[in-house]
Amino acid sequence: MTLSFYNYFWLLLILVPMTIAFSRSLTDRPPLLKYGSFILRVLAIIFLVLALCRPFANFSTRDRHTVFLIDVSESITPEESQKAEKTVQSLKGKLPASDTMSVFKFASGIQPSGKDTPDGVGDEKFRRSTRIAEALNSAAFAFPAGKTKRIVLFSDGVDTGGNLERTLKNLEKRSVEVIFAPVKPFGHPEAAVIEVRPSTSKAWQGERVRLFAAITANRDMKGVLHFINRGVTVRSLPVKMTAEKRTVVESDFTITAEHGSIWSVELAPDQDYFAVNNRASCKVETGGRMKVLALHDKPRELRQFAMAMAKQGIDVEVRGRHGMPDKPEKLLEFRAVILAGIPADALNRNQMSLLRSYVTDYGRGLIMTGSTQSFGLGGWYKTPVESVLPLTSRYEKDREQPSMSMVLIIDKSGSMGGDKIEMARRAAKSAVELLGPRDRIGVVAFDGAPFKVCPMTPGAAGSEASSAIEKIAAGGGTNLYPAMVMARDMLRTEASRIKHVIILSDGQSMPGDFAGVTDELTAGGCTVSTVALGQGAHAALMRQIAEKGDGRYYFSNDPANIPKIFARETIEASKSAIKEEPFAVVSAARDGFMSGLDPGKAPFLLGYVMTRPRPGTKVLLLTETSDPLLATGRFGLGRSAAFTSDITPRWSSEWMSWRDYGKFWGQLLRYVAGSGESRDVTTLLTRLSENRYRLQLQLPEIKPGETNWTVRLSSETDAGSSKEMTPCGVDRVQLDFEVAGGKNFTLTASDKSGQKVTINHFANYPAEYLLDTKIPEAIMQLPKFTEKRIIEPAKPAPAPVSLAFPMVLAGLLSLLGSVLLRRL
Amino acid sequence: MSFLHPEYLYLGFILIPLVLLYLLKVRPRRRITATLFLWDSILAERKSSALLRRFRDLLSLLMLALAVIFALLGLAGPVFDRQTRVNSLILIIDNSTRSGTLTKDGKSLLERSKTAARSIIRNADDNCLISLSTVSDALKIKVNATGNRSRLFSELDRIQMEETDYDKQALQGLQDTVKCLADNGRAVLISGSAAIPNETIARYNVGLPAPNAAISGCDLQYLPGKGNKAVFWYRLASSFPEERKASLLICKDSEENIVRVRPVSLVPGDNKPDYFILDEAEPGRWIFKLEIEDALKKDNFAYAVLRRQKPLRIGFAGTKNAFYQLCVAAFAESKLKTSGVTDNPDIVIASGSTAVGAPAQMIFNPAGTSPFWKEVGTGLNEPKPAKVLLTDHPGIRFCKLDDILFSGVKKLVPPENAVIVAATSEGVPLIYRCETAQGKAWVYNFDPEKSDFFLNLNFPLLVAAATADLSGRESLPPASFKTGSMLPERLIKQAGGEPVELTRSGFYRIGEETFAASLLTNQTAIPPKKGKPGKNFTLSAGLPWGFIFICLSIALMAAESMLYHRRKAG
Repeated sequence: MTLSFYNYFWLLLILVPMTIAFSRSLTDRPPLLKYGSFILRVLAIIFLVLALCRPFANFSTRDRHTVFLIDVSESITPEESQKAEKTVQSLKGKLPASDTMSVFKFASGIQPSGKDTPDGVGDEKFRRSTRIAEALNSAAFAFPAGKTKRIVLFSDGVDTGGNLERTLKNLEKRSVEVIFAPVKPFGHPEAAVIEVRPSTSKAWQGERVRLFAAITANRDMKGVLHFINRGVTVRSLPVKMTAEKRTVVESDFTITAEHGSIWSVELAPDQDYFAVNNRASCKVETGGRMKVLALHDKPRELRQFAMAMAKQGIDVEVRGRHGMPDKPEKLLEFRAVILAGIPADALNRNQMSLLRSYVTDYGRGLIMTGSTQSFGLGGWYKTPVESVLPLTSRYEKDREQPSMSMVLIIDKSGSMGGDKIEMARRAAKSAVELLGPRDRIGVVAFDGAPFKVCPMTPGAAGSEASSAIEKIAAGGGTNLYPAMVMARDMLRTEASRIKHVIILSDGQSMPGDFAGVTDELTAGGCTVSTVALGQGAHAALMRQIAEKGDGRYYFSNDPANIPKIFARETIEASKSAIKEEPFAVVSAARDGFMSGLDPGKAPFLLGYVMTRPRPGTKVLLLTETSDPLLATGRFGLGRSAAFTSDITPRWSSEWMSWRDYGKFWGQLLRYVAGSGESRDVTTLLTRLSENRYRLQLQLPEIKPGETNWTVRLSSETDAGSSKEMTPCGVDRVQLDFEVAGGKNFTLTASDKSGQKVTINHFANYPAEYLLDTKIPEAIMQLPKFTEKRIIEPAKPAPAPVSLAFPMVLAGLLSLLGSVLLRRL
Repeated sequence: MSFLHPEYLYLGFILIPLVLLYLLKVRPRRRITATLFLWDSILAERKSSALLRRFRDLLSLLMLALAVIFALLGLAGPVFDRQTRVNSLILIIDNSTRSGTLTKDGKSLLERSKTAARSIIRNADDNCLISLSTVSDALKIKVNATGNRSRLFSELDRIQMEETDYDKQALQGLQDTVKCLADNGRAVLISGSAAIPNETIARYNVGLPAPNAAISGCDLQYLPGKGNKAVFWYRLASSFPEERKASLLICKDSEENIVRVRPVSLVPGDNKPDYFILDEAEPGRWIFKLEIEDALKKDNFAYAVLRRQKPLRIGFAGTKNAFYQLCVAAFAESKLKTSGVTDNPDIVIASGSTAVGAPAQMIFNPAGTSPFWKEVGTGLNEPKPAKVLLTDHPGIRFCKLDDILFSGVKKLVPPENAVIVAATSEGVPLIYRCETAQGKAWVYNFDPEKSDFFLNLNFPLLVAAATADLSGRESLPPASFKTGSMLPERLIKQAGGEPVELTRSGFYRIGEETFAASLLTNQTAIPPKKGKPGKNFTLSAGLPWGFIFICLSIALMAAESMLYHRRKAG
C-alpha cells in the first residue's frame, strides 16, 4: 500500500488525550471488554486518518479502457468511416464486462463520436488533414484511472503531420497498447498531381528546362496532363496511370521571353472525385532579357515603344485596361511596370496596394508616363500608386489659365450611410484641394430637400470648404431636382469662364424637370457630370443628365472609387492639367542612368501633363516652362519614375525619331528595375509544422558583422508584413514565421546593400489529397486489429486501486465493535 | 449540496446497529462491598449529576451517530458548487531550458512549477482525476488521469529540465482534448509566464527568473584564402536590467584549454552578433564559455566544430595545361578551394577535345566530335569581338568580354539545350553552357593561346566563374546544431552513422565525423512575448469538504471516548 500524503498523521495526536482519559478511566467494566473497546476505538480513528492519507494499493486487474479513434479525414470515404464506427458499436456488447470504452473521431483534431462537426469548424476544414500523432496524444488523456489502457486506431494510416514515431514511443513507455485497424483507403476513382518539379529553379532564355510531373491514381486510368504557363496550355500529353503507383511524366520546354516564371500542370483524368488535387505549380525563375509590363487603354499605341525596347534587350508586354495582375507571383514576373495610359479606376483596391508593395517591398520598378489618363487626369490623385511616384497630381495652376467655378451636388440620403458618405466627403475634400486659388467651389447636399453645405468659396479658402464638407451626414429621402436648382442659382452669378457641376447619387430620385434645369445650366456655360453609385442608383437619369450637360457619366459599385472620380473630374473640368504645345527638353540634373545621353538634343515633345514634384525626389528633365518632365525617386526597396509626356505617337511622334530614343528608355527602365534577384544567395525554406515555416539564407560572402536582412511576407491572409531576419551564423540568417492556412505565399528577402531574393511557395493543396497510400513504418509495426484481439479479456496487470473506501468502512466497523464491547 | 459518490451514503445503515446497541441495558458489574460506602457513592452521584447521568447514553449515541454521518459524508464527496468544481485536470509542467533558470529565491522555475503542481494536486477535489504532462518542444504525458496522488508526486519528482526551447505549438492539439474532457475539465500550464496557443488552456505563473545571460548563437568558419585564420561568430542575450561586463572564453577541446579570453559587454535583450578572427585556429572541437554569475549555467556554454572545406578537384585534359594550372592555383585559397589533381577530378578543363567520363568540364577550342556540340566547322579567319547575350549570367561573372577580340573561333553548332551566353555578331556561339547525359559543360569556342587570352585578366575570372557554376558543391554543415534537432540524413550518410536526436548539448561522434549541439537559445534571457491572455488558474482556497467531514468524525469519536472514560457519556 502506498500513501499519497503523510502529513495527515498529525491527526493521530488526538490519541494522546484519549489514552490519558482511558488511563484514568472511571468506568467499571471487565478489563478485557474495556481494553478491547478502547483498542477498537483507536483503530477506528487510525483507519479514518489513513483514509485521509489517500491510500492506494496495486492490485492485479483485468479492467481495461479502450479508446477507439476513427479516422474521418478526406482520404477515407464517409462510408468507410461509418463502417468503422459500426464495427466499434458492435464490439460494445462483446467486450468483457469490466471493460469500458470511449470513441472519438479524428482528422485535423479530435472530437467525441456522434458530434458531426466540432464547434465553429466546418466539416471540410476538420477533414482536411490527418494528424495521427496529435490524435493519439489527445486520446491518451481520456483514460480513467486504475485500468489498463488501449487505443484502437481505425485509419488508412496516412499521416499528414506530427512526430508519429516519438508519440508512439511515449505511449509505449506509458504502457498504452496501440492497435492498428486498417481502413480501406479512398474508394472512389481518384487521380492527383503529387508534385511538379523543374530540372532547375533558375533558367536562362533559350535554356531547355525539364518539368517532372508526378501523378497518381487509385486505379488504372487514362487522362490528359496539361502543362500551363501564364494561363495558356503550352503542351498536353496523354497519360496512363497504374493503380497506386506514382507515374512521372517528363516534358522539356525551351524557356523563351514569352514564358512566365510560374508553371502549372493540370491533370484531366477519365474519372475523378476531388478536383482540388488535380493542379500543382512550380516556379522557374527566368534570367536573361528583362521583362516589363506596360498598361495602356489602347495597347496598339505602344507598339513602336515595345519594338524600340526589344532592340534594347527588353521585352515589353503590352496589356490593356484590365491587364494588371492581381497576385504577387504573377506581377513579380516583371521587373518593372509602366502605367502608360490607364485610369486609376481600372485597378481595384488590391491591385493598387499590390502595385505599391511591388515597388516598396519587392524592390521592383514603376514608371508612369503622361496621357489623358495619367496622374490627376486619370484619377490617381491620393491613391496608393501616387504615393510611390516622384510627381504628384496637385500642381500650381498658371495665372493665365481661366478660373473655374464648380458645384458638387452630393446625395446625403439614408442609403448613403457608412462607407459611402465617408467616401463622398473625402472625394469632395480632394476636389477642393485640387482647385487653384482663383477657382471657386460650392457644395450642395440633398436628401428630401437641398442644403447649402458650402456657398461659393474661393480655392484659396479651401480649409473652410473642407470643414463644412466634414459636417455632411447621411439621412432622409432622395430629391435631386431642388438641389440642381440651387446649384444653378449658385452658379448664375459666377463670373468664371469654366463652370462645372458634379452630381453624386446612389438612389432613385423623386421626379422633377431634370432636362429643363440641365438645359438652364448649359445655357449658362456650365457642364454637368454625374456619378451613379451602386446598383440602386437611377443610372438612366444620371446618364441623361450627363449627356445633356455636356459632361461625363460614371458608374461605380465601389464607394472607394468616388474620390478618384472626383479628382479626375476636377482636373479635367478645369482644362488646365494638360499642355498640348511643342516644347524642348531641358536637363535639370544628371543621374547615372543618363550616361551617354543628351536629352537637350532630342526633338520636341508635343505635350505633357502638369504635375508637381514630391519632396525628396529628383527632377532630371524639365519642360521649357520649368514644369517637371522626368523625375525619379526611391520608395522602400524599389524605384519609380514619372515622365509627364507620353510614349505614344500622340506627344512623342517627333521624340521617337531621336537617335537615342531606345537607349534613353532602355537605360531608364534598367535603372528603375534595379539589379534584379541576387543569384548568389542560397535559400532554404523548411516547413516546421502545418502553418510554420523557417526561411534560411546562406549568403555568398562572409560578412559576419553586416547581415541586415528583412523579409516581406505576402499571402492571401497577410497583405504584407515585414520581419527582420535573425543572424544565425557567420554567413547565415534565418526567420521562423507563420502563415495561416498553409496557403501560397511570396517572400521577398532583402538587405540594405540592395541584394534581394524572392521565394514563391506553392502549397498547391492540403497533403490529405495527395492520395499517398504509403503507411509509415511506425504504424506498420503496430499489432493489427482482429475482433478476437479486442474482445479477449485483458491480461492481468497491476493497477493502483484507491483504499479510501475500505479504510472508512473499517473505521466505522471498528467504531461499532468498540460500542458493542462497551454495551455487552 | 450534491455528492460525487452518493452510493456511499447507503452505508448509513450502520446507524441502525449503533442505535440498537444503545438500547441494550448495560449491567453493572457485581462487586462485594460495604453498604455504607455503596450508599454514600450512590447518593453523591445522584446529587451531583442526576440530570447528566440520565442523558449520558443519549449524548454518546448522538456523538457517535454524528461521527458516522460525517465519515460517510466525507466518503460520499460533497459538492457545494458543481459549476466551479474541476473533476478532470491536466497539469502541464514547462520543462524547457528556460525552466532551469533560477529565481530570486534560489529555486529554479521548474522547482517552483513542481511545488505549485504539488499544491494543486494536494488541494484538488478528492475525486478529481489528474493527469500530468511536460512540455518543451513537444508534449509528453507522464501520468494518465488518476486519483493516485502518490503516483503523481513521484512522477513530478522525476521531471527534469530538457535542453530544448519551449514551443507553444506543442500544446495546439490540447485544445480538442480539453473540449473532449468530461464536464469541468481543465488544462493548466505551469510555467514562468510561457505563452499559450489558445485560451482553452489556463496558465499558472510561478514567477520570473533572475537575470540571466546566454549564448544565443555561435558559428565557426575558416576564412577563404586566409590559411588557418578562422572567424569566430557569436551572439549573446541578456535579461540583466543594465549593461554587464563579462568574459567569453574560447577553449579548444576542453574547458581547461583556454585559447582566447574576450571581454564582452552585455546589453539588455538580444545583443548584436559579434565576431573575432583567430589567426591560428585548428580544426576540431571548440567550446564557447560565457563567464558570468547568472540564473542558468548551461546556456553559458556553446559547443562548435571547426571544419575545413574539402578542395574542389580540378583535372586537366590537354597538352598545354600550364595556364589552366595557374588559374586553378590562383583560386586555391578562395572559397572555391580549387586543387589540381590527376585522378578522380570533380571538374576537368579540356583543351581541343572532350574529356570522357568527366561529370563536369570546361572545353576550350572545341575540336572533333562531342556530345556537347553537334558539329564543328572551319575556323573563322578574323578574330571576332564578343557580343554578350546574357549579361548577368553567373558563368561570365565579373568578366568584361565586350572589348576582347577572340581568335580561333570556329563555325560551331551547339546542342539544342545550350544556353548561349556570348556569340559573335554573326551569331556564331562563343561561350555556352549545356547539359547532356554525359554531364555538363561550358564550351569556349576560341583558342586562348592564339589571342594571348591566357594573359588577359578575364581568363582566370572566366575559369573561376565556370568552376563555381559547375561545382554545385554543398555547403559545410553548421558548426553547432541546436539541441532537440535531428541530424540531417545527408550528414549521417556521409559520416556513416546512425540517426541520432541531439537531446543534450555537447559533442557527438557519429561514424567518422564529430558534430556539436548547443542550447543556442535566447528564451532563457529574453522575457517571453505576451501570448494569448488565457485564464489564470487559481488554486481552490480552503480545505476540501471531504477532508473536513472526516476530521470532524475523528474528533467526535475521540471526544466521545474521553467523555465515556470520565463517565460523562455512555
